[in-house]
Amino acid sequence: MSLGFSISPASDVPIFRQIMHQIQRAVAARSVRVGEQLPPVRALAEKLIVNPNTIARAYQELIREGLLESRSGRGVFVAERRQVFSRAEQTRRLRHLAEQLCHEATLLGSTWPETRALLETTWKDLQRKAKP
Amino acid sequence: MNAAPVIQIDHLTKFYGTREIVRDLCLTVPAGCIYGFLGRNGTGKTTTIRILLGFEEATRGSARVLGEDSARLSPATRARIGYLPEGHHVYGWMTVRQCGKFQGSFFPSWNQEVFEAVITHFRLEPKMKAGNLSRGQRAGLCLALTLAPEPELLVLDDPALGLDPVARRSLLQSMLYVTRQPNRTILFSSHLLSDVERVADRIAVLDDGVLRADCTVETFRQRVRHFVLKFRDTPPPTPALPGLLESFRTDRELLLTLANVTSETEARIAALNPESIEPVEMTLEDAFVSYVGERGEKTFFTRERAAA
Amino acid sequence: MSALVWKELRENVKWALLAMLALGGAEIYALHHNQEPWQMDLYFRDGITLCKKPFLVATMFGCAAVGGLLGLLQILPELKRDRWAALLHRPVSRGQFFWGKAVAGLLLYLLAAGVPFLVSVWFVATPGNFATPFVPEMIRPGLADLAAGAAYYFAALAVALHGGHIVLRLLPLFAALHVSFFALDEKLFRVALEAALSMALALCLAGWGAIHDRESLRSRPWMGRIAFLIVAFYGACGAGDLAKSLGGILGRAGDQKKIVWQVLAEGAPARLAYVNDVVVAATDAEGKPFAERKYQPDQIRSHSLWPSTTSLYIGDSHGWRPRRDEAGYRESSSYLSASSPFERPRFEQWFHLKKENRYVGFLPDQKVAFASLGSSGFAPADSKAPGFAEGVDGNQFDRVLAIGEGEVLRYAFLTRREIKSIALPAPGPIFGTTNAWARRGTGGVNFLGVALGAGVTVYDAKGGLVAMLPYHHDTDRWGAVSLGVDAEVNRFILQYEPSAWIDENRKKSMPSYVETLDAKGNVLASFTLPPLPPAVNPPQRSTLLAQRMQSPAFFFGEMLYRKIGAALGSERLRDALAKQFGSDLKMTREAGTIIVLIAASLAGVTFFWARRAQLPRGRARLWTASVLVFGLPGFIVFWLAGERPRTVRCASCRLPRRINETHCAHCAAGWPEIVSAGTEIFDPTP
Repeated sequence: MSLGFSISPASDVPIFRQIMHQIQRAVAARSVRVGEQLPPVRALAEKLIVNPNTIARAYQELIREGLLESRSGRGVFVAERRQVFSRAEQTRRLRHLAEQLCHEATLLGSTWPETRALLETTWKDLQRKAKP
Repeated sequence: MNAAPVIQIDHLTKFYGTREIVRDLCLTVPAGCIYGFLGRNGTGKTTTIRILLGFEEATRGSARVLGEDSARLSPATRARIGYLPEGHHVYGWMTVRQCGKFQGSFFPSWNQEVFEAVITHFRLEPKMKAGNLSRGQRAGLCLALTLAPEPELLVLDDPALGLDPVARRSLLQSMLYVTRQPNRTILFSSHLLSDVERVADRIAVLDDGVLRADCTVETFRQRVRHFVLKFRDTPPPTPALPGLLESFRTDRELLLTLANVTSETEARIAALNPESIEPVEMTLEDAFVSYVGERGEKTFFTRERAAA
Repeated sequence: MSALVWKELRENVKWALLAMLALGGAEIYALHHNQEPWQMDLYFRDGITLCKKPFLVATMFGCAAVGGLLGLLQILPELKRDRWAALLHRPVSRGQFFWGKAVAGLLLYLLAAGVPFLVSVWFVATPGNFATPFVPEMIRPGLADLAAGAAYYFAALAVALHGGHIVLRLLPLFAALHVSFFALDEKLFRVALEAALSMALALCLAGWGAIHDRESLRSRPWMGRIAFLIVAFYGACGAGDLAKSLGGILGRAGDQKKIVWQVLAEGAPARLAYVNDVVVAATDAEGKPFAERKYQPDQIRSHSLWPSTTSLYIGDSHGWRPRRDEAGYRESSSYLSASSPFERPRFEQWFHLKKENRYVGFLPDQKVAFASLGSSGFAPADSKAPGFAEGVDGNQFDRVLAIGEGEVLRYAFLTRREIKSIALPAPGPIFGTTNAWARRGTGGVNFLGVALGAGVTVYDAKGGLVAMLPYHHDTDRWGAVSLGVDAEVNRFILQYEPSAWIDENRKKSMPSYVETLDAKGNVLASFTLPPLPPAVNPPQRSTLLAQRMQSPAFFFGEMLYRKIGAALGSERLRDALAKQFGSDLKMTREAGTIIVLIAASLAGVTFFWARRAQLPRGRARLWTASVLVFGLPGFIVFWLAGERPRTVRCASCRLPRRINETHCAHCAAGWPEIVSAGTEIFDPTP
């Protein structure tokens, strides 16, 4: 398992959210697999030099979102994929991200075909990585 | 869990002469909590800490530390408190080892292993003369002397002052190391918001001797919000919004920083009829600066402000 | 505790060593200064070795400076806010920090001041270094200074540890100053030492109290509080002492005038009027000015006879005896005296040791005693020869040491080492002897005058009887007899003055007599000198001021003390009381009135001020009473004690209210609430 965390406290994103994003990305990129154990709160806190409660909070949020699961007394593991959000909530979250992508693309002068091609490539790359 | 709070400050007021340094301060620090104590220079942080440790007398109100009146701390209670005053003083003529021996002779719970671990962490040799150490090394030595008695409560007065980034990181690691043991409490004052964000559970913000915030880091970030309002013409004068911390006017924009935004506040902002309202995320440092900085409307130039 | 002592020793030993070298150098220099025979004063007026004035200046100022500096250096560098907190945040009581410092500091003080003194004593006690004998009691003044220095050490600790007003902080220093002034004036060593040690103890406890709370007295232990009040009181006294001595240096009020009788070379009396020790007028016994040039005011002293005192009383002493330790423990004459050496280069120098009552002699240019002289005659110096049985009156002149002891007059011939009893022409006892000196050419001839019950006998250097001069006046009352010899050694002058045992006030109304006699005792001329008006010494303005600024407790307390002492039979106190209610009655009345008025008005101010400053009624009354009793010092203490609570203007009634109370004493309003700006962010602690 490789979790190359990097924390930037001077960011406008709260630290627990930074940790959440990084775990989400790692799970999506299959660099941590389903059933794999995440480092204990204490150890990760000391490694990243952040308050253990912050790590615990990030884990908690991800457990709530269904990405991770806590097995009592043994630690936190990457959970089997399951849907915890309603269809509407899924759409809301994706729309938010899509808006952001489109804003950026317009700002950078990317055309729709270019953007769509890019989306397709990224999607395929992700699927390929997840397969083996 | 120890139910009794480690620090309980009750309506504490401190005058220097006829000047009120700390005003009606109430603060409770529960056991096992890392508390960041924030505020600009001269807002009474150090004074509060000195009252907590019995080095100054409160004018009114009381402070209790580990269940004891802080004006009359018994030696036994003092042994359970680690205190690192500002300035990191060491006896220059002692070697690092002698410093440890000297300090250790006072504390029954002295843990030489902790002492050695911390000085190694800061790359100190036992034979070094304390007077020849660099600022960061001196801080390391002081921290080792403060941590080795394994105090239940650690009070650090601006420990990061004057430290380089490496020493600062070691300091934070040492603080986290302390909280490995259950129910270890830390109260530290700091100006470095990134440090506070990394390690603090909660923060208390003093502004001109008055406690203005006492909450978790997350709550603070959520409650201080920043909006960019775009207008077609010159923006209207800043309205008297509740919780307004700061406003900034440019040719076409009005930047508002607000605390405790309610739906009513949002409605009033919308009533200004801007072309667009864009909420912007703030870093903790930005939030803090707007929070304890000067209130009211600002522009780039003082000349314009004077004209306005 | 031992770690603290170790730390303090290690931190300050460099200062102690430096001070030790400086003080040691000063003391050895002072001992050696003017110690060569050709530089020495014939009478040892500056004192001998360990009682020499330069040496005592070194010990007095040196010990005070070393003690004070060590105390300050131990505290002040550590007193910076965070450094002090870093020191005190240890699981040890505040008192222990003080004792750690005090024990180490006292050891360092003993190193810095005690070692140089011990070396000086050792240096003086080792034969071969000084041409004067060593008497163990001579270490007393140095010891008293050493003890006073310890008081300065603790004073410095207290000064450094105290917070608050600068005058308040200086009080301990003034208290130490007071004990210095006291030890300087006091005659008895034991009293001076006890005073210095008690003050050191009080200052030590005051410092110990101050480490508990630097600002206010309230949270100090009660012993520290009492010690502080004692120190504050003596500090006010010390400030008064200082003001007095500064005033004495700065302001002289009036001329010091006196009129005295003087015997001229021819034997006739003259009346000399002095202003500030300068003769301004000289008249004969009838009050007519002299025609002769040599008797004009500018020359008359050179043509006077200066008879020397032979006895203080004749016959019955009427219970009078020389007062004990009249010279005081700081004077070497309390321990030993040089027997009058009149010639230069000196033949031999003999010293009388008071306690052992024997003589010790030094050869010229030799720094080791070579002989001792006691009741069994000459003996080697190292043999502890027995002393004389009774009090002796010895005079060294030419090569003879004449010793009058009880009923016997002996001549010890220094060249022959032989003792001869001299037959007395009339029965003893001997009431006193003197060296009478007759001017001859550029030098003079010495004679021994011996006062007996019937008259004064005069002997030459070989023991031959020169004259027998019977008394012609009532020597029971006029028993203070002085002898003068004229240049031709054929006329002898006896001057009779009231005996020592007569009350000072009565003496003032008694005449005195002067007689000129020949060697056979025939009266050639006799004069009766009427009593002179008392010397007019207008008190100095500063003395008056200091007297009037006293506290009523001291002024009336001293009066009571004198009354009780006089009733119990102390002569000194009786004399003082007689002066206070006799010649000084007007001044006493004036001072008493002014003191009471000042105390009363200050008490009024105190009460008003205390009430205005929101002090509770009981406290205000207590302070008022103490100012009434202690006057200005009490007022200063009240002003400095900082008991007045701090106040700010009340927001609702505009009157001053105490900052440490939740409700205003005038309108019972609380403190204004903190105005919420709507920006507060609170979330409750879990």
